[in-house]
Amino acid sequence: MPEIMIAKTVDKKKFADLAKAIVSRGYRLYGPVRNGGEVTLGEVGEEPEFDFDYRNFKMSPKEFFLPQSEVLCRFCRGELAEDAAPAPQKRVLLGLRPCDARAIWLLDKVFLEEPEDFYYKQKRENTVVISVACANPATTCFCTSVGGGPAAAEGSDILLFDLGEAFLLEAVSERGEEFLNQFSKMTKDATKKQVAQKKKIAEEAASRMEKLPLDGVAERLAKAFDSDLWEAPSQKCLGCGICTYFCPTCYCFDVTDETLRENGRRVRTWDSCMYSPFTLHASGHNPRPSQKERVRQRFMHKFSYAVDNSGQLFCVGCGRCIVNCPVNIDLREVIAP
Amino acid sequence: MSENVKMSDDLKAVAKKLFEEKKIDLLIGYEKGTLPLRTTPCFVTSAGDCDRLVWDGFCSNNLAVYLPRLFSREGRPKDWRPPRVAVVAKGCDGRSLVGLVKEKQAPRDNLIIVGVPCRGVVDLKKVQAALDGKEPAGGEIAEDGTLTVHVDGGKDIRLGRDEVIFDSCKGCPHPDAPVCDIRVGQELAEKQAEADFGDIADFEAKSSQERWDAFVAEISKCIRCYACRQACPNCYCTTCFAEQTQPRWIGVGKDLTEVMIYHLGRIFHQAGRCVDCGACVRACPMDIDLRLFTRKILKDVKELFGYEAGVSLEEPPPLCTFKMEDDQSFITEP
Repeated sequence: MPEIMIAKTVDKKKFADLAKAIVSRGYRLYGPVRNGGEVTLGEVGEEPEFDFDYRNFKMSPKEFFLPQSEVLCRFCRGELAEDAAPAPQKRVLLGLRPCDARAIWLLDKVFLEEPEDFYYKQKRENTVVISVACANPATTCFCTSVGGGPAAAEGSDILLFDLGEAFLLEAVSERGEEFLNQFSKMTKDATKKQVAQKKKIAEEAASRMEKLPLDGVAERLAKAFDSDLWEAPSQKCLGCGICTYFCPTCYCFDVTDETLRENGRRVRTWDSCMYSPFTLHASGHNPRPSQKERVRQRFMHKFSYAVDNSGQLFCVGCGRCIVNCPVNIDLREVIAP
Repeated sequence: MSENVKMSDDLKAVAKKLFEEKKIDLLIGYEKGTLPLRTTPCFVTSAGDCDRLVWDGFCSNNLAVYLPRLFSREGRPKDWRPPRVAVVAKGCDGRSLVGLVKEKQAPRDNLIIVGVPCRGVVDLKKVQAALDGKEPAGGEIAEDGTLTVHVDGGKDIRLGRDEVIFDSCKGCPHPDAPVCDIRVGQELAEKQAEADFGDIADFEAKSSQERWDAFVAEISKCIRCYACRQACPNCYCTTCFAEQTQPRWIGVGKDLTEVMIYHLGRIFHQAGRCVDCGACVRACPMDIDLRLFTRKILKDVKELFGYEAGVSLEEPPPLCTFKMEDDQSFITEP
């Protein structure tokens, strides 16, 4: 974790004022929005409520950087009709959990290394990520097993801790520090006691979390490529896209040219390795002919190939695939030794 | 011994016997899941493996969905012999199996339907809503259907049967599989009255614009994960029209027009086939009330053709046959 740059506190009662100040500085502010029993990341209204007592957003925030459907360009009779999407307004995403922020840090490795992805980079550079440290992880959470933690900083610009009466805001990136400095009149420097309190929150949450035996998982799975490990999960897998669409690190996409007479648009959409057409060749041959190869691919990619490519597991332990799978395929069980 | 434990034991014994008598190669049933109050589909291939099986009110998946791919000849050698498969079936699952046999997706001779009496299965979303943000640690269902949920560091919470079962289970006309080879446990005497479709009366009473608005409001939640299609035993097309590329019928994006066409296609293909098992709604991660639309079609088919899907192997499917007395009111003068 990077050294603490600056740590500020703001009284909970004054947090709404800070939010208004953020908006008045030209940022679009996205935060927790309640919809029935669920909480999603959405644009906050006039009277924002900031209680961060939810476990996590229903869907991961990857949509904000890699939209499910994004028009890359438009064309007319083979000529580009207009430039690519204009730069988005600068924005603040508030209330992510550190696991989802870590997922953005992982996506950076895919989209910001050569060749850089213009569309992703534009959004990433215009976004300040404020994550909220977890005090109450779910039983399906396992961030500490995959390199993260309830107060891990990767992918965040600012970490927010709930200290009861006040929120502590800790800048964990240069962008975060610059951002906090804009609002120094509304915040106070955190006291030593408050810094100690925030450490305790993170440590307590981490101590309650299950630790999966994932040492050497990449090599273990690489050796299990042809084993019958994949039989049980692939037999019951329905082949829907829930696990991949809910996953904060699944980034596979498809690019399609949609045309109507002489006009067309190039669209990038989420794709899923769970779908049969994902690997279907133009010849009609499909190198992953059954659900077994598809299920294996998903786990191998996250826990073996990704380690070879970038040195990191491409799972952040958010548990969304476990909770939402219609047939209760449990990743923790599949990759267990 | 609780009823659920006895039922599970009876089921294990039936399954073992089927393997010992070499009548089946595979049995598809349920086993305990990894999450509290959940089971997961399990594929059993030997007598020694049958102890994994369970049967209780947490067995919500419709296992008929697995049959088309088990019996598909695509990519298999010419001399391939289809497996002999037993399937644990609630009333609705049994009706799906009948549909698959009639549509030639499962050979009747290779299929053993193991019927289990169903009093309705537990909707975890309803349980979750009653727990007010707490996570369940486990639970049991009593004989009268009352669910007791254990909560870590808290008091047990008791929820009545009607509070927790899926909407699709309320007023279920067939708690037992209508076509069945082996029955485990007692057939349920308290067969419910014929479905009255009161639940869609409001929807039907709306003007066509209001119905359209209601449809759009529901469908707008869709993320196109295709879970509704994948969970449905009736959706077995090798290539779904929604994903076909030559020609492409609908666009790839999340625009309402694309999403809407997918759903209209899926819903209308259910006419005369949907057994209202609710698998689509259970699988949907966005809580779209897909049944609202399939129920309307179910009712129309019943009124127009007096047909109920999945209850008989002999009765021809209404959209594959013609009778002189069929309703012809839709035919209008040019």
